[in-house]
Amino acid sequence: MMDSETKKVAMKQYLHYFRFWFIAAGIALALFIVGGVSQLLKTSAGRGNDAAPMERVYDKADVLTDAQEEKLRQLIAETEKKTACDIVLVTINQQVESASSGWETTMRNLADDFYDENNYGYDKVHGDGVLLLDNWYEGQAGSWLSTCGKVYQEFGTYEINRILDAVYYEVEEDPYEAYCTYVRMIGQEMSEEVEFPAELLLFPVIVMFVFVAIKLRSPLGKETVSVSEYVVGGRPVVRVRRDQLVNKVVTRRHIPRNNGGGGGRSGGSRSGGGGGHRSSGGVSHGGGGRRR
Amino acid sequence: MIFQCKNCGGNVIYSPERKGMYCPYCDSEKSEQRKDSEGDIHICPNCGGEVPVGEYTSATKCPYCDNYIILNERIEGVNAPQMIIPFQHSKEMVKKLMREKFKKCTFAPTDFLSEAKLNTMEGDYVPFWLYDYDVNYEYRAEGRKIRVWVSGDTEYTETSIYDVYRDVDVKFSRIPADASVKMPDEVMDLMEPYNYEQMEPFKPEYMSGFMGEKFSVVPKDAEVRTRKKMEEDTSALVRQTVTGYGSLSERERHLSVNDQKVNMGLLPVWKYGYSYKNQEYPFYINGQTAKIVGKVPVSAKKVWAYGATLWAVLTVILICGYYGIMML
Repeated sequence: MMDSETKKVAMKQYLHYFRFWFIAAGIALALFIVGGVSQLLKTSAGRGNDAAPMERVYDKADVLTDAQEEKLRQLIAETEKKTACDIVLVTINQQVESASSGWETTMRNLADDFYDENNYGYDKVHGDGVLLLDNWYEGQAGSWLSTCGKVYQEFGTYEINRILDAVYYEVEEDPYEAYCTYVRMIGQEMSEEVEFPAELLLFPVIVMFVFVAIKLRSPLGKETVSVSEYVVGGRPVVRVRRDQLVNKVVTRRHIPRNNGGGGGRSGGSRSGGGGGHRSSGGVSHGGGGRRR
Repeated sequence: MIFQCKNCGGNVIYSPERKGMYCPYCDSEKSEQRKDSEGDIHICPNCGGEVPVGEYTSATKCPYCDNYIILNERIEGVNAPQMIIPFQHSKEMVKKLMREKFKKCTFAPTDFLSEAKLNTMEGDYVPFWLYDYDVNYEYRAEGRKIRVWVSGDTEYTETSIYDVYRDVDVKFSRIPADASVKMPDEVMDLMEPYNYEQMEPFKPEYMSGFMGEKFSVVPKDAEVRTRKKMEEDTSALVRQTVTGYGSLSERERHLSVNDQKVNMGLLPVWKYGYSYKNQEYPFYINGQTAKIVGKVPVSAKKVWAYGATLWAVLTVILICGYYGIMML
């Protein structure tokens, strides 16, 4: 039945109806292409620092097997590509508490200095990166996480403590697994890859159903006749109107009073740059420690 | 009978825009000359062609010469209407209103509002029985008013019980019920209200240019509907005079009709018979108020096409936009 003329009209109506939508989709597509190109340029730029050593795993306390070290290096290499951060692990077995310097200060200085002296940093010397210093010395064991560059910018006390906690729970049991967790968590937190939240895809489906439902509503017509439509003069003539009080009853009820108080609430705050300080080398580091 | 133009011999019709007789062939106004048919109502008084006439048809169009013919014997005697509301909206006006009202109906078939289809619209004078009632209504109920207040630790609830009584006279004039078996009752009810101030004593001139019908429902059957309307309206109106009670329980009601009268009136309705995929989608437009009643057909193809397009476009915008912004 659809002749070509009707089809043409239908097509025109369709294009006209969605004209703004098509333009918006075109803009989004262009944005996607531009974004993709710039992303490609960024990642292909690669490491911007060749003053640092290739080594990332320094197992001075000797808690890992050679095979574990090798696997860890591989994991770190992959994660570094994804995050554009240097990820370093140092295990030691040495005394860090003395009369002149407390556990925290020594651990912090050791970690920061190791990072600085080795010129770590993905983008540049003393640039983006993170270092976990794990001490196994009897009675003074514990970890220190030192952050630098963009990791320092992004990590608040909350993120630092999350990683330190995760390491703390596993490290005595299985040091290799604990260090892997450390690398993986850095990978999650610092990933440059954009991940699309899949639940957002539900939104167009819902909008489509609402649109169709609204458009399909077509009532036959509305009732527009009032009850006085056909009444001469628009209203009835009231001959007798009587509202006579015949009875009145009063009831009482005692109101129970209740006395009670509410509980208090407390909130927390979160900000980047957790544990910020300057190392002896003059480089800004963030960080935190957890003693075992 | 037909109305012929004194000046050109063309068919003179009633024009809603000019509110008078008009010859579309030579633009003359009030140039009509009545020409009665001789004997057989099936013969066109203009061209002599044989006109198909339905059992209740009172006005129609000759299929050969397009003259509008009014059938004398169906508007006279027992069939004579007492009053008529002439068409106030011409076909062009109704076409415009239809387009305005349904332009948002994206899923309607493409030719639903096309010029060619809308031109098939016909104006139809539908016969209505118009009932007058003189009613007395007595109503008795128990009403309760509840007042609550607090004093100290005590809440007081006071319930006052009233004997409510009303004795009311209501005069109804021209409650309509269509007298056509062809017209669906629920649609004709939705056509209401008509404005009776524009009602005129019946003249056949008003029918020229339109279709018409004589009654096919007897007053006895139509009265079932008008009486129900009258009873509902009366009780609602009386109920409106009872105010201020938290609750009411009816004890007694009595309705008596003191006087009643019925008249035949012709009311104007535009009919647009659109059919789509072998199904009829009749539209009725009040020829006086232009109220439109009808269900718009839906093209399943369009629902799919528009729904899918909206979904696809939104998804593209969401994904591409999200990645684009995050990567920049």
